[in-house]
Amino acid sequence: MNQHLSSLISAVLLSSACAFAQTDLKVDYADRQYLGNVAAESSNPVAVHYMPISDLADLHLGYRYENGNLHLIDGANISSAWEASFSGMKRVGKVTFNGFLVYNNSSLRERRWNNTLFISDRNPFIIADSLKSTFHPETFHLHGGAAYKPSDNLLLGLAATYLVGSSATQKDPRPEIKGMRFRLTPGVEYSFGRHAVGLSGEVEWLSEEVTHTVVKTTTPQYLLLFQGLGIFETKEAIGYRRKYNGTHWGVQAQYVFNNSGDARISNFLEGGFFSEFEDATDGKNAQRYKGGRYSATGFRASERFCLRPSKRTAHNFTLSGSMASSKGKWYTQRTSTDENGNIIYETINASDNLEATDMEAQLGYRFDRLSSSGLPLFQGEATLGIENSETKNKVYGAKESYSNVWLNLSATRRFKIKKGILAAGLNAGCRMKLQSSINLSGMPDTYDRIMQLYTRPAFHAEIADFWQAGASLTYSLPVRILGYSSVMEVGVDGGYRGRINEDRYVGSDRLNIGGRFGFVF
Amino acid sequence: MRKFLYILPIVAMFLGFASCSSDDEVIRHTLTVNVQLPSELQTKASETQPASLYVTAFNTSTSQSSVAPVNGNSAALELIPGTYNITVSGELESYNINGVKTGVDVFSNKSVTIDLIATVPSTLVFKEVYFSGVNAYYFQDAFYEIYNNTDEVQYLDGVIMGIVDFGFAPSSSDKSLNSVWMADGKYIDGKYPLTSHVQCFPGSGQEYPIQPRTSIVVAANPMNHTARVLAEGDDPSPVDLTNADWQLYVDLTGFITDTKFEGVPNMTNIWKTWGREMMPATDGQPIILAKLPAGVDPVAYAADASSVAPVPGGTNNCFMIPVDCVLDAIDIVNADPADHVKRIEAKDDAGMTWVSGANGGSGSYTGKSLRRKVAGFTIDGKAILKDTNNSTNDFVTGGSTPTPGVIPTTVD
Repeated sequence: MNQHLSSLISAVLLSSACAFAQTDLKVDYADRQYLGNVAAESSNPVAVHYMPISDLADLHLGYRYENGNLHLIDGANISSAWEASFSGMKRVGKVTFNGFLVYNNSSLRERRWNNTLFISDRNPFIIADSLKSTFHPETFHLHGGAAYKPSDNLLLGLAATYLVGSSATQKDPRPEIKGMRFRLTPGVEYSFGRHAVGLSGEVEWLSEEVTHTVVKTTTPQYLLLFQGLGIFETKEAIGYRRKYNGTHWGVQAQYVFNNSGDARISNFLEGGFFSEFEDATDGKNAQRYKGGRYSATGFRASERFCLRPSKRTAHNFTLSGSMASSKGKWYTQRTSTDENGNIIYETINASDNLEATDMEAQLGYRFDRLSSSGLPLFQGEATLGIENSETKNKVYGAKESYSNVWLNLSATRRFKIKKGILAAGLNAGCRMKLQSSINLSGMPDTYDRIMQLYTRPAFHAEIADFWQAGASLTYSLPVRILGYSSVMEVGVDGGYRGRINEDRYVGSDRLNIGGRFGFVF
Repeated sequence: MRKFLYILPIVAMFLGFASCSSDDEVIRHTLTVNVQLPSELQTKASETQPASLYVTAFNTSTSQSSVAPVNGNSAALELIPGTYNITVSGELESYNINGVKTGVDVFSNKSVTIDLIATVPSTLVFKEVYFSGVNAYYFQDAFYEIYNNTDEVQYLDGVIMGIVDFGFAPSSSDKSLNSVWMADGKYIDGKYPLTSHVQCFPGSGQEYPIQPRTSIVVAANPMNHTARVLAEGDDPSPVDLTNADWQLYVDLTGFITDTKFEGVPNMTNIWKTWGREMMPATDGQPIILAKLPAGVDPVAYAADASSVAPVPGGTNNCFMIPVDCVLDAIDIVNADPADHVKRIEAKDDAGMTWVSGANGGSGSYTGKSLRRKVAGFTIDGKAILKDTNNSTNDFVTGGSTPTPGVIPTTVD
């Protein structure tokens, strides 16, 4: 793993530290990259070749604070996070490098029901306790990629992403969590005329370990080994260890039409398939207890159509959809002894007792009015989304399903103030449920309490109707530092989310404010 | 508005697609339980259909029970996947009919055959046992109440009371494992292994009568435990044992010494290994009442080296008493269904019972006892305690507030 890490750091440094040019174009470079590359959000690592700004380095420091009880069941009531990021891009001959390094240090207060870090959001096999405590996750996220153009028609690409982190609390039972995700993404693209077809893949490994200690041993502490919909087993927390191991792989195909920054019409279409699994295994050595296996398959597709009737106007239409079908395998195990008298867990049955289907579709439109240099002076965006989720337990017949629709509107206006540019943004949106149902009538009485404390609040957090609004201000000022021209950025933003209907299981609101400061070279 | 209308078909298609999932699939398996009456009762059964013979399947994960009547010689239950303890209960004339099979894995349709056992009700039975104690770690208030469940005078002379060894595997204290003393639900050498202390009522035959439908209370410490001075974290004991009929003086040498209460007769501590009181584990342990064959002196029997055997694979000794000598037994287990492992033979107790704590957890230090239910009353109003040879049915589920010396006046 150290080799992966050193290679990634090299790619990040190479792509970032060498890029000091074209400073005037780097005000709001992210929007320029998006508008200038119809495949900017492609899964294929060759897409960086088409970025209009190929030499830049970005160094930022950010802070975010959130407070409020309108959040998912395993969210924190109060959270704060510092983040330092270093990213960049550099073209050297036929090769374009890109990369980033992000360090995040958070404090998650009054959090419970989840003692994991990087497992899939769909994985039902969560190890948790029911006592609120403060988590301190610390993560490093590294990404390095390169696109190589060996001939006029061919592009080859490779990217690697390494996410590593740890988290802990100082309240019994005390979990200590260490996790890692490592992803490799190769890609290829062949172009002919104004058309290009691409193929990319991804393979990712997950490794995470959670160990629990109890300092005040006079009070017994217990862990919940969730199996979906709040169904759980309990284990005594002291010394309890769980390890997650998983693999994800996927393939995507792309079709790109006319990907040049000034094309009047351009289009990007991508479709892909993925498959993944994560195993939860508890204990050590021979005494291994299988916590469960989560597996999922799915597909996703996205379409972006870009219309530029003039050099000063850009219309982007997007449509995307995804579907994932997941299963939770329960293992029924019995303790017995081996020939040496050691206690072992003997698996007497394995069955996919939990099934879930998640679907999402999104329709978006974005309008940009550009300056002569390509800076978006005004930007308006509307996104309409719809999601559907259905989870059922085949043993007890428990089932929950819901559909939500959401709408987000945003507008950003940029003003020239002295030598700098001020970007002022407003956004507003809402989420409304279309339908929801939950049936827990078949659950055994022993789960009555957890249904009230966990299952129902978790479900209602997913379906709560809310509105939200926010504003942001970012000031970008070209400056020279040590002889290098750069853009200094200072930004603040804030937002508020409020529940619309009364719901005794869900909190009422949540506030977030943040700020960032940095330089783009 | 017209543009918005274009979106509606997309939304409708999405929702339509989302609702196209297959019909709800719930996994259920059929367990067919075939019952086999003992040969000596098969003729009677052909003449008299056993009344209310039914099968109970207890899911060891969810603690849910499913019940089905026996029709002919079998019963069918639709069960969720899991591991079950199966019991069969009923009556035939004056016999209790019972059968048990534990750890039955039901992950597909299957059938099991259970051999039934016919027993007659016991003369002396445990009316109540209290062993869970209270916080913090106070268990000196334990008591046992023995009831004469017949209409004739019975005698306590020579009656032995003992705690059955868990039969842990070597280097283990895992109660979910089967006892190393047992195979196929029976003790390998035909003897119950007793541990901690074994106590015996004195007397040569008819010195200590117990009148019909009355009880005697045997206290670990015959005193008023409710008057205990409490420190922080202590809970008050629920029992006043001042009027106990007998005491269990544990004759230990060493720095731990039991208190001897004057004026209350002692049972005889005929065998001992460890324990500052004679009592089951606070979260549950099987106990028995037994009586050796006529003419066998319990003290002499205990002094005989052949009455003691080490735990298989271990070194700790147990006091061995033939299974045929048992008068009454309660298979007391921890409330956790994973620990519902039988350590009493089905002929002595076809079920299991336990004291429950919060959320169905361990009953340790809950201040609750196990009390036998009242099945009815005699013409003169005396209680007939329930004795179907199945403690799951015979005792108040999960335990209740202790009532030493008090005989209920209503049917449970």
